[in-house]
Amino acid sequence: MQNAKDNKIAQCHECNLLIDVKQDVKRQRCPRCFTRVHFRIPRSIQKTWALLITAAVMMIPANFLPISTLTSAGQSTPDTIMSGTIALAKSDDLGIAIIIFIASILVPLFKIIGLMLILLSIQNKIFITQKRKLLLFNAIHWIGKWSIMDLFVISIMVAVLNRGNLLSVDPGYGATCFGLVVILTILAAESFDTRLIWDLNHTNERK
Amino acid sequence: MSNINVCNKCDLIVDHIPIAKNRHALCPRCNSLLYTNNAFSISAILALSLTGLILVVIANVFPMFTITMLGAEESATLIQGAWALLQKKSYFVGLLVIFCSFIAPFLFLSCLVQACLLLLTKRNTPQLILLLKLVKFFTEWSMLEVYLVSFLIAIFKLSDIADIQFQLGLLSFVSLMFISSLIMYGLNLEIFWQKMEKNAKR
Repeated sequence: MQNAKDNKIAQCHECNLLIDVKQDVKRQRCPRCFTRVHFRIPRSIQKTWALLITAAVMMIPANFLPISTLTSAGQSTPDTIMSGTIALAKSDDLGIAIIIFIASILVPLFKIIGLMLILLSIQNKIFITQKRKLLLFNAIHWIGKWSIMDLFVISIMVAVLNRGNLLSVDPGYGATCFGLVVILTILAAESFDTRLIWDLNHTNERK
Repeated sequence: MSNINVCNKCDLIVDHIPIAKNRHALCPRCNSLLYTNNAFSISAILALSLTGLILVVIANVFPMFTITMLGAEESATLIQGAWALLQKKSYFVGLLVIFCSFIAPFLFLSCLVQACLLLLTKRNTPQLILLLKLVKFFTEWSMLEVYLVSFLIAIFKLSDIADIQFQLGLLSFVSLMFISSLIMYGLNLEIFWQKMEKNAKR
């Protein structure tokens, strides 16, 4: 069981070419695609933490500011993610309400908390086995794009319901914050290097 | 270094063993996919992405559905949703939606077509490297399948208050989603990079 890094072999981040890293060459570039060669994504943990903390902060306005405002017969009712979901559940669309609830509340939370757990475990604060960490990361990576669903739904509703005071939907500031949460969590997953899970050995790793 | 593989999830060095078609080589340490033997050829990818580009045009020219509500009929195309957001001065969300549902899939397909053509005609221009990097980038940000599910949810919500008729645009959008998923399943950029190196040596 040998790591490529220990044998001075790096894998290009862009084209996955295997490169012999020379000790004396500074700023080596990939011979195939001219990307800078690194063994690991530089400052991966710091970047991921920064993006995650920002995303966690943005979760607050995303959930408390109205994500959309429905105007019907002259009356405007602003809806946050939660109140919109509850309204859906009450109007017998339970299935849709569950989908929206999972995609816009549970998935972002799962992504932020999951990545934080992985980072804490890498920094030896808590213990999770290596395989489970990767499994958790793969789940986060795969589910990443699905949390944008609510914004797509709003965009279609805004386009279709545009009868002014009679019946219309307007996007709110919550939507912007929610969009930021989605982008930040996707970027956080991108900037995390899974190889670090095996690099930074756990102090109390069970064999 | 042609006889070894390195797992790009856990950095383990693994000997390269030839595998049968439709088999996967998995990393012994972390179980991630190392390599497969069922990637599509460059010409197959070219054919699929050209089909995809045609479908993109159809999906955007023809309306996805017409909706009859409060006595008036209206049709909506793919970009109109994002366009409406931009008009309501919600620029960030509008751009995000338009990027993930239209720009990224469109550029993904057009970069792929261009890269395939350059490789098959054996022209190694400097743009080729950029094109292949862009293809890799846009696979992450193309969210057609998410858009389709969102579309169904929106239709379900609207069906209480309006009559909805599906149009040609929706059919081509669904086909586009299948084509793009098929491309992502069979796309192995390593083949493209190797072909590029081979062309350069000639």
